[in-house]
Amino acid sequence: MADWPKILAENGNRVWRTAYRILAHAADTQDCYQDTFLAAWKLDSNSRIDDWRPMLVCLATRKAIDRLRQRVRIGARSQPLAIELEPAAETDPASSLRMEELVDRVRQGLTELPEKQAEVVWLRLIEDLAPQEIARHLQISSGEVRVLLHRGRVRLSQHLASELSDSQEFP
Amino acid sequence: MKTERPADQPDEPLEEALDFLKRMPAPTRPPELDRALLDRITAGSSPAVGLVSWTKRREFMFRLTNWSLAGGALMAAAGLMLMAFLSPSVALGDVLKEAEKHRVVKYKMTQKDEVKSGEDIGALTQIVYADLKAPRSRMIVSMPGHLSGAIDFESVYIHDQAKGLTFHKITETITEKGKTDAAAIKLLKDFEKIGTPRKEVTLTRLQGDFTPATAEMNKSILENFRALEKNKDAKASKDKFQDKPCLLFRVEGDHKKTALWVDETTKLPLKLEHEITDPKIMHPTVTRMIFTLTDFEWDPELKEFKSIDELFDTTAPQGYKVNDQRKKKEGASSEK
Repeated sequence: MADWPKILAENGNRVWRTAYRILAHAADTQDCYQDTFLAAWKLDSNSRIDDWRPMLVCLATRKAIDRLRQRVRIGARSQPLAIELEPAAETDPASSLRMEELVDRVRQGLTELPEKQAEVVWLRLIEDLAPQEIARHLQISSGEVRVLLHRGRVRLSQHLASELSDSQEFP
Repeated sequence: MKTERPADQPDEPLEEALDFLKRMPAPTRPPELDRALLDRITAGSSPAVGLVSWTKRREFMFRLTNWSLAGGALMAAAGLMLMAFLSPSVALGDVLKEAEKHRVVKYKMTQKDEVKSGEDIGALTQIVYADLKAPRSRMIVSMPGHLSGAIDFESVYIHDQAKGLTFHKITETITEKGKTDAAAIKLLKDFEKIGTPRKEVTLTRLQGDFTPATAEMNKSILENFRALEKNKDAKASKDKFQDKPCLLFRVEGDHKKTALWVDETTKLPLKLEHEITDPKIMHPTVTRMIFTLTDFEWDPELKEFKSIDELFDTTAPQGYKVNDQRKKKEGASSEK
């Protein structure tokens, strides 16, 4: 049996942060955090896992995006985001509000991407996983990672541009 | 007019948002989360426990604990059943009268949840004592041989509406195997880091609602029974319970169904089943919750308790760490 106290101690913060960045909701993050480790526990009983960190980050990303999709579908995404800006970043309320809206739109945009595209975009652009790591854990080729990343990014940009022009049109 | 940005142009808002997301801080995760997770992982090999995240289980428990308050809203649902049939059937009026003669009822409550994934998450069984004259209850969950047989686990919840308090006591005792078996000793060593074996009491403000049975959470079960008298939609029939003839009453409402089996001789409930499918009050991953109450004992022998007040006592025993979350903002946490 894997040394779970050690695995949790070494990777807990990273998994928690990944889930929270996507979900921005404490209770959902708790669920996702546990689902991730329980799924990893199941995986571990079927196959040998050599590199826990990227595997857990991939799992957490998948589960968090799934949960986000579910939330958007049931129209419950209006949970407060509880975003806190870092001290060096914008501090005036208008900037904070604008940033909250932007980030919320990116999250919504993610839910509209095909599953693998959304995962690759997040893992590469936010989690900084190497394309080879993403390829290995999503069981696709590195070339496919590049294609999915490009397409995902374009669609996310278009989604954001469209949302922004909508809000400018109807303030 | 709606315009779309060409994909090959720099996208400042997206870059800004991505940059922010990368730097976005997360709140500290609750320390009990890892402990619960390790509990789940260690116990996960047992088919009886099933594999479901602690938060989901906690959500289910939350419903369940609310339902057990004041003797369980399920009992209140029984009240609904009883009162619903009062007009056509004398027997149900007698049931209420019969229940009123008692002070405490003990029953087994099993909660079975169906989840969207179809995963079997196992049933949760608790023993409940409910005060029939006051809104307070005691629920016990025992898991002997937890952590691969290394500890015996017991959780006791006492809800006392008059005090506005939920008392939760966890007792973990190292078993003989936990003292002698090398693998169990090693496992316990890992769990020592997160405080196992625990002897702790958590006190929280009572919260929750009594829907859909009744909103009158500050009343005792019997008062709730009376308050629910107006329901006239129930259907009665003859049925059998453990091969003995009995009366079966059914009430169906929006997203809820209740069935009550009553002993024709003693005029007391034999079994109560309450099914909830209301997405508004369930965890999003759950599609159906079924509560079943059986093994009723009216004024049971209290054995280790000298009185009813001792059964519902919310004083932490000696040697238990007390975490008083009602005063958390003032930083109160003490060793008793």
